[in-house]
Amino acid sequence: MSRQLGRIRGGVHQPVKHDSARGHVTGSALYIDDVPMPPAGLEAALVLSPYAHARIKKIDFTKALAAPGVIAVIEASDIPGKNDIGPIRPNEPLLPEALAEYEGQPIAAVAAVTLDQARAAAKLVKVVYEVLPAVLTIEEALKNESFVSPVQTMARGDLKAAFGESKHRLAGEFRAGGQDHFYLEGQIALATPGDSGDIHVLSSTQHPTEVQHGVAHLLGIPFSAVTAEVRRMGGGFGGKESQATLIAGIAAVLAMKTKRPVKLRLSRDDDMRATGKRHPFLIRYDVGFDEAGRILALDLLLASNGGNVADHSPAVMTRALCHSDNAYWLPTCASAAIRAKPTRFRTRRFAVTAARRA
Amino acid sequence: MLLPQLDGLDVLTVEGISQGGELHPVQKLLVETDGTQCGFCTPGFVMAMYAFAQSTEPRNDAHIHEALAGNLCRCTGYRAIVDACKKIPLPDFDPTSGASERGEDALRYASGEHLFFSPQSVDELLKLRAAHPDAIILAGGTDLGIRASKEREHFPKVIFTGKALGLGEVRDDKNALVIGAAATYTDALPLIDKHFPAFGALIRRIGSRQIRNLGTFAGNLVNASPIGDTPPCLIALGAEVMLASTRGERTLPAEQFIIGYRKTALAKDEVVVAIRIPYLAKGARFETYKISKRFDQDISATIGAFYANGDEIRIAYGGMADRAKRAANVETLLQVGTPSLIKIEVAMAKDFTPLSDHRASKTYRLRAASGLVQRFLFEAGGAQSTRIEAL
Ligand SMILES: Cc1cc2nc3c(=O)[nH]c(=O)nc-3n(C[C@H](O)[C@H](O)[C@H](O)COP(=O)(O)OP(=O)(O)OC[C@H]3O[C@@H](n4cnc5c(N)ncnc54)[C@H](O)[C@@H]3O)c2cc1C
Repeated sequence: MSRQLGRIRGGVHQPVKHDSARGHVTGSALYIDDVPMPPAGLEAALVLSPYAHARIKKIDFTKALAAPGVIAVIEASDIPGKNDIGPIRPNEPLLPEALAEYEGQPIAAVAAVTLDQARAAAKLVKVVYEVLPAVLTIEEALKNESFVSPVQTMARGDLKAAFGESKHRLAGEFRAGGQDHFYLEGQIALATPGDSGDIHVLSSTQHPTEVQHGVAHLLGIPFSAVTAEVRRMGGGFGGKESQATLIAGIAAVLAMKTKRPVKLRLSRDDDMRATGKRHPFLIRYDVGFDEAGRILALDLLLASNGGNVADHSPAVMTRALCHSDNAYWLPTCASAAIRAKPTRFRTRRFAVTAARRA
Repeated sequence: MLLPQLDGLDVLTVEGISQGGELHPVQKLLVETDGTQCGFCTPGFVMAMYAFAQSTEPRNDAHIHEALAGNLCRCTGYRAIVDACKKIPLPDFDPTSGASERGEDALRYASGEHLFFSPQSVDELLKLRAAHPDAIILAGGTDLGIRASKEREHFPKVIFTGKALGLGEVRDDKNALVIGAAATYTDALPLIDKHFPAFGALIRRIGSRQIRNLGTFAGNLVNASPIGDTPPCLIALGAEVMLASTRGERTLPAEQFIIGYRKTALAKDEVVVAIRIPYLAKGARFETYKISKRFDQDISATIGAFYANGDEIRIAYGGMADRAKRAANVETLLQVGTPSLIKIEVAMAKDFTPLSDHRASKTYRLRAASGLVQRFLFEAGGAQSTRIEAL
C-alpha cells in the first residue's frame, strides 16, 4: 500500500503542471468545435426574441423549411418530454410556449446541412408577437413586487433601539453592474442520438450532471439514457453552469427529431444576447455608528436583477446576504435581500446566472 | 483573411512550430510558468510569442504588452504569460534575412461563382476597377474580413490591392511623406515616427500588431467610419488623398474626401493610390489623443487631432459626429488666445452634438473632447502629461 501511495505525484507545497498544458500549447487539445462532425451531422441556429416581453401569436416556418439545406425546425411543442430546464426551481422553459420574456430569448431553432444555411433559415422564421409592457429596472420591479423567488431576510438584535443609540447615521445607495462572463470558448453542444433511444451530448458545460438531467427531462428519457461529456473544464466563470443546458437541450431536441447528430454553436453576439449574465445589484444602506466609528446598526437592502426566471438567483442572493457583513461584527442588523424580476424590453437587458466574482 | 491573400506565403500555425515532439521554447515557457488554464486562447498566445521570439526587441513589459495586445485571456490574468515572455531568448539569427522564395502570383483566382483579382501593377488595378465597378476593393481586410467571418457575407468579386507593384511604398517625397494605398500601418510606422511622433504613438494603439501588419491607411480612410482613428489626424495634418482611375488622377484634401457617414468622394471607377502628408513646418505642432475604455485594441469614444502653426490651427475629432470633422468654433477660439475650459466647452457644444452610446455619453464626449484641447494647450506651454501606469 505504501508503495502505491509513493507513486502519487504532487501534494501540498508541490507544484503540479496543468495536465492539458502540452495539449494547449501545441494546439492538439480538442474543443467541441474541433471534434470532427459525425457523418450526417447537422448545424443549428436560433431564432431569438426581439422583445423583452411579448405574446407569441404565431410562428411561421414555411419559408425556413423551404430554404436550402434545412432538415428540421423546432418550437416549444416539439419538445417530447417536459419543457423545463430549471436547475433549482421548476418552470424554466427551454423554449417558451406562449410568452417571450427577455430580449434575446430563444423562441425556435433550425437544423440544416451547413451552418450558413441554418443561420440564413433562422432569419426566415416569421414570429408574430404582441408586444407587452415590460418591467426593465430593479426599481420598477421593487415597486411592483415582481420577484423571481421569495424574499430572504437575515437579522439580529433590535434595530430601532440600536439606531436610537447611534450618534451618527449614514444612508445611501449604490449599484454593482451586470457583466457578461466572456468565456473564450462560446456555448456549444453536439448531440448524437444512439441506437436505442439514448443520446450522447458533448457540451461546453461546467455542470455535466445538470446537462444530463436537463436533456433527460426534455426528451422524456431516463438519466441513464443520456451521456453528457465535457471535453475541457474551466474558463466558464459561472456562465456555463445552468446556461449550457439551454444550448445542449436545443441540440438534443433537434437531434432526436431528425435522428441525426446536431451541433449548436452560437455566434458571440447571439451568445451574449441569449444566455445569462452576472446579476446587477442595487444596494440601499442605512448605517448607525458611534463616535469611534464603530457600527452599531445596519439596515441593508440588496436587490438583484434576476432576469425572467429564478435560475441561480436565490443562491446568488443568499451568498450576497451572507457576505454582506464582510469581516465586521454587526451587533444589530437587518438585511433584506430581494430578487427583482424585471422582464425586459429592447434595452439589451439579459438573463442572469451564476458568476464567479473576483 | 481571404485565401488568395496568402498565395505565395508560408502559413505557420501552432501545430507546426514544435519539431519531432520537442516543444518550441515559447511553448515550453508557457507550460513552465502555468500560462494556460482553460487553454482556449493559448494557441493564439503561442503564435504571438513565437512572432515576438523572432524579434530582437527587449523583453520588457512595454514591448511584451505591445506584442500580446492582440490576444485575450480570461483565466490567467496575463501575469504568467508575461513572465513566460520575459524569458524568451533573443534570436541567434538575423530575423530580417532569409525571406522565403516567392512563387509567381496569379492574377485571377476563381472558386465557383467567386472571382478574386490580384493585379500586379497599378495600371492593371485601374483597368480591373474600370471593368468591374461592382467588385469590392480589398486591402488588408481588417474591416472587410469581419463581414466575411462574422456576418458570413460572400463577396462575389474582389480586387486585391496588396500585390500591385509600388502601391505598398512609403517614401519621403520633397515636401511630404507619401504612403501608398497598400502600405500597412507596420510598413509606415518608421517614417511616421520620424516625422510625426504623436501620430506614430497613436498608430501603435490601432488594433494590435496582428491588425497593424495587415490594415492600411487607405482602408481606414475609405471605410470612413466616424470612429476611425486616422481620419481626424489626416485632416488636422492637412493630408491629401491621391485618387486614380483609367480616366486620370486627382487629388483631394482628406477633409473633402470624407463626405458623410461611411461615405467618400470616391467615384465608382476610382481607387485610392496614396496619401500625402505634408511635413510639419518649423515651429508647427501636431498632437493627437485617443480616449477609449481600454488602452489597446479598442475603438475610440473620441479622438482629437491638433495642428498649430502660429494662427494656422486645425482641430479635428472622431467620435463626435457622423464623420471625422473639424471643430471650427474651437479653432476660432484658439486663434485669439488661450481660452478657459468653460469657453472651450461652449465652443465644442456649438461644433458637435455627439451621440450617447455604449462607448460614451454625449456629455462625456463633449467634456472629454474639451479636456483634450486644454491638454494640447498645456503641452504646447511646456507641461508634461503623465500616464497613470507611469505613477
Ligand atoms: C481587432 C481590430 C481592431 C481594430 N482597431 C482599430 C482601431 O483601433 N482604430 C481604427 O481606426 N480602426 C481599427 N480597426 C479597423 C481597421 O483595422 C482599420 O479601419 C484598417 O485601417 C482598415 O484597413 P484594411 O486595409 O484592413 O481595409 P479593408 O478591410 O481591406 O478595406 C476597408 C475599406 O476600404 C476600401 N479600400 C481599401 N483600399 C482601398 C483603395 N486603395 N481604394 C479604394 N478603396 C479601398 C475597401 O473597399 C473597404 O471598403 C480594427 C479592426 C480590427 C479587426
